[in-house]
Amino acid sequence: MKPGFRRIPGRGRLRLGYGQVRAGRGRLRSGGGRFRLRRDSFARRVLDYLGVTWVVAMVAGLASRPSRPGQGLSPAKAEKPKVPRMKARRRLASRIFGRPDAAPKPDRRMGVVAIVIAVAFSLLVVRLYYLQVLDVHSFSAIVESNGLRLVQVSPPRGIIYARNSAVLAGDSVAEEVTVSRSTAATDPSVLVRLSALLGVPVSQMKSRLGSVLYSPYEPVPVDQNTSAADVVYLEEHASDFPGVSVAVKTVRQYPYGSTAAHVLGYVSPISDSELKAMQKQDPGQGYSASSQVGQAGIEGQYESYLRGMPGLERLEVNAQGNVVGTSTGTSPVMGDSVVLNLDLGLQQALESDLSGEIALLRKQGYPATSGSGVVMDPQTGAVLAMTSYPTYNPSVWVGGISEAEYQAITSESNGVPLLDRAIAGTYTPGSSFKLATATAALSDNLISPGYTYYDTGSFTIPGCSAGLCVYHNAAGEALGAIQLPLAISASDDSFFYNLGYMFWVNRGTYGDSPIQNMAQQYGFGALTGIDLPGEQAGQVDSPALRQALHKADPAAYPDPGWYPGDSVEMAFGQGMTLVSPIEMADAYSTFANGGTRYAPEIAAAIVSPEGKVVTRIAPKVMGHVNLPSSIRDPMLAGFEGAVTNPLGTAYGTFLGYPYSSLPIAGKTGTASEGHNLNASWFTGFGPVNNPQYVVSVVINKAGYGANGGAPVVRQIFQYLIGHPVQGVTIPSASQMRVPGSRTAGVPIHGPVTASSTFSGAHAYRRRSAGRTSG
Amino acid sequence: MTIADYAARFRPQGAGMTAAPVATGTRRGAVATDPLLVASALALAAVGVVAVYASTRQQLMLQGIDPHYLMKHQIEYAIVGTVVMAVMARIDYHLLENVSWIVYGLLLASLLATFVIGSQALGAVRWIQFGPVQVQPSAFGAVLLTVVIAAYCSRTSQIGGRQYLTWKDLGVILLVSLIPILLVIKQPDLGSGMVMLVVLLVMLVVGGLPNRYTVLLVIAGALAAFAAIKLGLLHHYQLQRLTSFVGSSKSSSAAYNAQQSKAAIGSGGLFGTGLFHGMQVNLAYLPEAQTDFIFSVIGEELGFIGAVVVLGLSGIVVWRMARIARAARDLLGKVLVAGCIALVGFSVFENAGMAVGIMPVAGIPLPFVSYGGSALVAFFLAVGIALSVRARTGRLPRV
Repeated sequence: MKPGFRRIPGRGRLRLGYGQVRAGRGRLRSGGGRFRLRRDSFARRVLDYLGVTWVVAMVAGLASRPSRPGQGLSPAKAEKPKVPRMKARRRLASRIFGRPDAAPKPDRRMGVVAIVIAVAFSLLVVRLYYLQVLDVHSFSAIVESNGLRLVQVSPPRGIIYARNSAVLAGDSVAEEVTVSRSTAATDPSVLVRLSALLGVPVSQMKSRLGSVLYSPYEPVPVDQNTSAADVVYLEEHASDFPGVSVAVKTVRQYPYGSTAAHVLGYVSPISDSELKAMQKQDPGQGYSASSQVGQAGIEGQYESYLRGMPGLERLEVNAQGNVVGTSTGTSPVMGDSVVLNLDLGLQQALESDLSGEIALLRKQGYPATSGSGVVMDPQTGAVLAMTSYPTYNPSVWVGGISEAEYQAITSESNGVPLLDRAIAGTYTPGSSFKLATATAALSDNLISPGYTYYDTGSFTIPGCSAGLCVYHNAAGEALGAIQLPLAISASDDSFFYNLGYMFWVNRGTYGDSPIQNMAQQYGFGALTGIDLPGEQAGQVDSPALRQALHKADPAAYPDPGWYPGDSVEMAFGQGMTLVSPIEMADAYSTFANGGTRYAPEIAAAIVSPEGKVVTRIAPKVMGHVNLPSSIRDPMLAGFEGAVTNPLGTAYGTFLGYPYSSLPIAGKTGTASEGHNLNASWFTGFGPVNNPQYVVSVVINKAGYGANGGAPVVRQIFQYLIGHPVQGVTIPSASQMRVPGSRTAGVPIHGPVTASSTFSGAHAYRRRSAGRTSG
Repeated sequence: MTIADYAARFRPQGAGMTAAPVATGTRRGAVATDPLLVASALALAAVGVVAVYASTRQQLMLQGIDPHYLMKHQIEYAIVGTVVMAVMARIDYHLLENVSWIVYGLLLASLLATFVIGSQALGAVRWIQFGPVQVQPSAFGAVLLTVVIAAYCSRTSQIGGRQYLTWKDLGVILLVSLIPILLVIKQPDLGSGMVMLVVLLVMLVVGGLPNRYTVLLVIAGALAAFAAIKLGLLHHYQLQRLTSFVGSSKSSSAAYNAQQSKAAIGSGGLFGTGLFHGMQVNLAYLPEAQTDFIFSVIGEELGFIGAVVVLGLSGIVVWRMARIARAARDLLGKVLVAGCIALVGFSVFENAGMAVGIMPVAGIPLPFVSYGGSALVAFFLAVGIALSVRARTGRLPRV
């Protein structure tokens, strides 16, 4: 470092000599520096104030040798070498930095305090500006997510009406107990008390609380259809049940109990796979994990109409998880209602007659395990009544079905009451199938209406050497020379064995499957197209069917071959042929109306909540059977004879029937397997000249058709004489209002809300206590 | 100096020190006062009444109680506070010096009483019941401590006409003031204890503590706090609150409270959601909305503007008191008012700072605004002391 002019802080521009330059390295390096900070300079004042001067002086003092105070630091000014050690150091400090002990100036210090406070306040303002002006959006989002919950409000479901506006499936308002998840987590004893009151196991409540099926923002329902007494108890002991509230929910209600249970179907919580399918299929319908969905019957078929549109509600939820208010949202729209072709009185008659007959048969010693009945309007395909036995009450589904209840309606020992045998039960048709055989024989000109066959009581396949070669009449009768009408009336099996054999022998002329082709035209072996889900098609025996069955299950069907005996058997409805009651009714409807096959239709119209007809369901033609009078008349005479001719199979059953009031025709069917009589059919239609009704009834394991099905059909026709089916009436908007309907999921007001209020107050108090310990 | 000499500094020194009120020039007989200071304090109290109503009406309604219930109480407290302020303004502050040992005894006795009552009630108690009135001694701790320390500082030795504190003075003051402070912290009321410590520090500085002692004191305080934490003298939740503003654990309730408070203030925006329309407040997401987090209520419902107005009014209170302190005729007056300034200033900074997330969560009231009778009266008492000093001071300098 060279001598010269330097700028020394606090002293201005100075000329320094060599010694000064050497000694002056670093102002604070040692106490011996020549360049002290001027006492009143700003830097000195800051250091002084912060106490740095004092600390440095202390350090400097310690670093130097205290036995020789002042030496090497500022020898010229070390005036009092005799001062004690500490004092010497303090003096040193004051030598270097002036006098830190200078008496304090309170006003100046007050000023500094004020400046500190001013700085602190400015900091607050800056921070506020950041939070409230610069970063405002992120915090608004937090607050929104805190307090506002978007919740779906399920709409009231559309109503299902019978054709005369009777409500078959309506909505009713039920109370359900819900538990807030946060409360259940913090105070599990609530569940124990609730379990004791409601009888719902704690484990079940816990599994529901943990279930993803329920919205995380809504209280979880733990008990549905809570009794009024329990609700009152909860209201009165609200303080014992924090987080528990009673919500009002619309649920399905069935005013006529089990009536038309299978037709109506049921509603149950949506499953994961269904939810995915529904959301994919119809994203606009607002399905969520807590949705209910129609599962079977009309509920399933017309789900998209019945469902309605869920509303969206913005719930204000407070810190305790209680809903304290609702703000604007969209209100739910009730689903469209469905008006059925079903006639309530006829339906009830069919059900009671069928179950009564089955009870009678069982008394007589028949197993009569199950049965089914269908009443159709042959002119339109409208299904006027349809039942399946055994049945059940669909209200078991309301509010969640229990395991035991589900077992009860699906167990084999109970006869699987859940199964709709009218559309999904298939039975061997027996002689009822002669409808197809006779039509085929006449329309293919295998025989003429005047063709005569000599019935000896049995039929032997010519040239037969192995297996079953001789076929007997079912009742063992021998009618001698008969023609087609009597063969139908008396259900003469030999006559039809012969037809089957003739078709087989002349298969070069008529093809391999003449009867099958005609059966197909009548709709046998195919879905009828009824507007119900879960329909099971029957099957018509044929060489192709045998092959297919063998291929699918060789153990059960060892022989894929087709033999003359098979042709003989299928001609009178035995063998592998299976027919469902709705197929049977539809086939005879086709014959009755002169050859037009309509799809059976349960629903007549869809009506909006405003009472406007959204859709009127028109008759749907599925196919035709060519039935000129040359074919239809002899067959009709045969069907009439079954009831009126003393030789007719159902003559005895219909003895005394007021024939003139409603002339009818019909056909029995008795399926046999060996000597076991399986399905007992009777299908009738009337009035004969202009058929308005087709009634088909089958009872399983109930003897001859005349014995099992026919009495029910007779009772139905007798009912119809007194109660002819009227036209469909469309219910008005006022009829459609759900009584006392309130949107679901919102806690009811009044005393019950006290429970949620209480829990709120409770937490409030607890937090207040927390504050006082803070 | 002997112990007796130090003890003498707490004793009354006769009536010679008292001073007559200074009459203002305009009105004869009228005592010089500070209308802006009084107006600001009253305005803050008015804001507080509204804010208390805004933050409690929803919860009170839910409980089926009159939603005005707490607001009415707050109005009563404000009236009592105003009367206390007016009376204090009339009293010569030198009288406080004379009765400082009585004040100190009262403070200690009341704090100890809470422990006795608390042990009988098998739980922490901060309140003493006087007939229908509940008093929270810790709320008065800071302002009473101000009187005691100021009285001592006013009697210290002088250098060149200026008074200063020796290290022995420092020791005595610390000994005297740490007893109530520790009692308050032990109560447990960490927030009030913190305020008292800050008040003590500021008063020592203004009272003439040499800088090096100040530095040593701060270092020693930091070491003591560190030791207290290490030795587990603080409750776990207290630590959690103190550190929550650093943003460490999101799960703790303190962090949750701080987060909800920030969210409330942040969602207020420039103009707020409107009075009574704060969702955080009404849905009870804001904890202790009427006391600790009342600043958040103002921030949410009245926005940046409202919050800055409250800070501004508090700033005016501090400024006017600082002005009085500087003009005070003697060190007693200066130190007294300095303590009051520290009380109000630090309370505002800590309370609002906690609400905006730059200070640790410690339950102390926002001066004049938070719900609570004892605190409100104590703050008015502090203003009253400042007014008493003002009344006995000549013309104030133009600041």
